Amino acid sequence: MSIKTRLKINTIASVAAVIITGVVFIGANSQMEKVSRKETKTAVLVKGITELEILTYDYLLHHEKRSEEQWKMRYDSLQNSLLSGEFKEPAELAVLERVNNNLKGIKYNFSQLTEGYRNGQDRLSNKTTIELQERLISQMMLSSREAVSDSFKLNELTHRERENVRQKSNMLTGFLISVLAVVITSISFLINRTISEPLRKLREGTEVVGSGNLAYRINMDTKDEIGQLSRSFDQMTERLKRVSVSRDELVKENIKRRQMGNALKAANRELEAFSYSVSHDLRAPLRSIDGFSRALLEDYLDRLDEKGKDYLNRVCRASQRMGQLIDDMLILSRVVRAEMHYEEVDLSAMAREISSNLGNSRSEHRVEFIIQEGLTATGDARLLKMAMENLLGNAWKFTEKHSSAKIEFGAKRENGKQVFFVRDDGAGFDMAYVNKLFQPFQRLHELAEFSGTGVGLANVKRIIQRHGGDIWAEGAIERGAAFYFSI
Amino acid sequence: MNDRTILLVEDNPDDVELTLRALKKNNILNSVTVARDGVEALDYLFATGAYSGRDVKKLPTVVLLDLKLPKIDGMEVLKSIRSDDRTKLLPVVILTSSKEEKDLINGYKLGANSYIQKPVDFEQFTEAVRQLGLYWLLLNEPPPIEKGSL
Repeated sequence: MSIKTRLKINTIASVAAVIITGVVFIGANSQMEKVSRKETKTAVLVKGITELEILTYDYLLHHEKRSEEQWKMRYDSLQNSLLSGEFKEPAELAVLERVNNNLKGIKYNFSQLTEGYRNGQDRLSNKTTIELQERLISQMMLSSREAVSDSFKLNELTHRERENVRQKSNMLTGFLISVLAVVITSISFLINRTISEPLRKLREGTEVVGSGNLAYRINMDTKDEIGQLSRSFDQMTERLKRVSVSRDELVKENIKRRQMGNALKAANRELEAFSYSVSHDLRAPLRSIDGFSRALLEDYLDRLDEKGKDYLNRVCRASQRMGQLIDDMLILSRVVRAEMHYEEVDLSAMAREISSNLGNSRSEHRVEFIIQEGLTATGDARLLKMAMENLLGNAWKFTEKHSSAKIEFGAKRENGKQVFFVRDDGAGFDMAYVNKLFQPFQRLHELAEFSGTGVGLANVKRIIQRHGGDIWAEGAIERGAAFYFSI
Repeated sequence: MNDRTILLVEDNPDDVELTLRALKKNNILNSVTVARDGVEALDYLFATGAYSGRDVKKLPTVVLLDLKLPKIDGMEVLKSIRSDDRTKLLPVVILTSSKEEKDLINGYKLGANSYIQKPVDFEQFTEAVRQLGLYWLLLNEPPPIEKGSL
């Protein structure tokens, strides 16, 4: 049962208590009023009978016509008041009956008396008449006494009734008030228990959860508002726990990342120092080897035989080649650590520019460039240009041995993703070695056949990977190669 | 042309030898002073230390400056040259093995007039030195020596 319902019941009970008490009070009051009216009636009756007695004496003393009439009027009014239906109890009705009979007797006696006086005024001395009169008078006296006594009896009855009514109404009121007090108190007690006890539990629960124990549950199963509140609170704690768990994981992940980032930074610094030293310190001895070999070739040419010249030339070529390797290695390391500046890059325009540069550099080589227009990608322009230069340069290089060649740059959709490609119909490669294609310093052709250090495609792969893309190749010997990449 | 001298700041004797040879091969016969480290280079330019007897007003026509030097490195030398009134207009060509972007940017920021990477290939190196000499010793008009500057 909800607290609201309980409170409603309590309110209704309180209102009912007030109404019932009011009704009882009004009922008791009207009872009392009735009794009061009876009392008034009785008093009138007693007073009337007393007055009738006095009027009787008056008549007996003076025998006046006026007294007689007054008596009759008093009698009529007494008779009238006897007729009004205030009294209903059998005891009261019996008393009234007696009073009535007595009054009738009195009336009869009085009539006899007045008649006797009117007929025998002159025979007052008549002994019989006097006797009759005296008898009548005493009879009347008697009746009147009885009537008065009855009236008092009636009065007493009324009084007793009044006491009775008062007692009864007091008892009823007391009883009702007690019953309602018990009902209201017990309901209040129940409400108090269903509120204060769960509230205590709820408060303790919030304190426990508030202190950081998110595993705590209040687990209240009551169906009232506090039950609902505690269930909502439990749900909230559950959600909070989930959030805080994911937050903790996030914090851990963050710390891990920061550590990784620091390690990465340190590795980057080392790499930077290394590549600086490579670029500066490794090149200097190479320059000496190359330079002094040439000095030998130039200054001591006459003392060298063909073999000696050939060896020195080999030394020169090797040192130059090593210089090239060092340069390419540096480019590779720069590609890895270069900062990315993302922008919209027009790859078609880039391909056009590169192809026209290639066309200018070696005019004997005839190549038909087919470049699809309007291809763009979001990425680092410098790195993407490096990749495009490598791919188109490769295509150029590996078509050089063909009298006419076609190099294509375009795009197609594959699995909903845009895939760019650079395709040529040149020397191609054996698909068995496709895995080696993108590894640094790996070459699929002999140096004498095609120049290069084998770093170009490794660089391209790094660049594409740094853009979050993918690169793969297809080819066949002497039937060209195609390089696909997504960004 | 003979009074136009070159200050070569280079610690590697092989590179010194190769540079001198390249100059000679290109018939650039101007006198070349070699400083083996940054301190020596600054001593020469400001006539201090071992060069305290030198006439400070006789500045070289061009300084060929390596970056990786013992004691005081090339960048420091360049900074000192540019911060002194007597030498702040002196043409300085950085001639180094490094092609690091960082070095290029710093070199130009500190006021280098030119930046050349020494090629490994001696033929290319010779060609570079030839062009260098031709440009800085013949074509380029050096800044006038300011009167009253010491």
